[in-house]
Amino acid sequence: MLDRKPADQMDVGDEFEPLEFTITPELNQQYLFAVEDYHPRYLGGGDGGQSLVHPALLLNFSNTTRSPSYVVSPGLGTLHAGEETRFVRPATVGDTLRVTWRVVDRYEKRGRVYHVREAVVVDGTGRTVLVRRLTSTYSSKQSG
Amino acid sequence: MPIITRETRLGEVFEGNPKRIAVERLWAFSGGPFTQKGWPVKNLHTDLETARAVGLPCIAASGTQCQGYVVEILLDLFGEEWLSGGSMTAKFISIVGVDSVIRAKGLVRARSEESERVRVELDVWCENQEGAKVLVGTASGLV
Repeated sequence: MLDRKPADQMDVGDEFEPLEFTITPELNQQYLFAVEDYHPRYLGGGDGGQSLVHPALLLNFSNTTRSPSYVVSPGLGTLHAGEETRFVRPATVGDTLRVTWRVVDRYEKRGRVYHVREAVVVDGTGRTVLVRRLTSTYSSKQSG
Repeated sequence: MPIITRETRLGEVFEGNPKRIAVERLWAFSGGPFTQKGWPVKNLHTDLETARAVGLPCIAASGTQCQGYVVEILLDLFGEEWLSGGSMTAKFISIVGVDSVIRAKGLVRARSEESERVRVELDVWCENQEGAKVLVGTASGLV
């Protein structure tokens, strides 16, 4: 079930609204600039002249905060504490990707709430591109 | 051409180029697509007021941006094939502010046989200009 309650109040099994986006050459190159990585594989130098999508773009767009339904309670910010990522197949520029997120664990440690979410990125034909398990906590003026 | 082979010695260390997180690059990474109305999107990575409102002393680069530097060296080490079966973990252990200079590194920690191939495991991390680790994790790929 899709849920618009604040991310910090979500329970195991809750899902965020999926994100669908098309990777243009310009968007890919924005990320090449961001991480200073201009390898030819991202600029038409791949097999058949294809441009691979930079993995940093895939990682950024699969962060839970990218969901259109992502909100946190007032006064909170999201901190990305850790993660596990498995790359399954490369994406190419021009692909339309879909990202889904589901809460798979919630726990408290030293007074902080942590959520673990599974993010799955699939391409336009439904093939998995990458799978991530993201652990997030929350920052506020009180918690520092 | 992959750099890591079956003969790569345990304990060998590889490192990427230093990357300065200029505010322009931070905004490009965390501000949303350039075409988005009102770019950059205000968040704790791009806006000091937002960062302070949630208890941060400064705007902080996304941990994922440092992960991008790690991924770059992993693709250098394993080749593009790493995108089909490679994996990594990461923990973000320190705030990375604007103009930090970050360098990704990897140490070959283990090798194991896997279906007639060899899986190579590394410890990976990112250091700032003072040599302090800001990201720690692991990665693996097949050779």
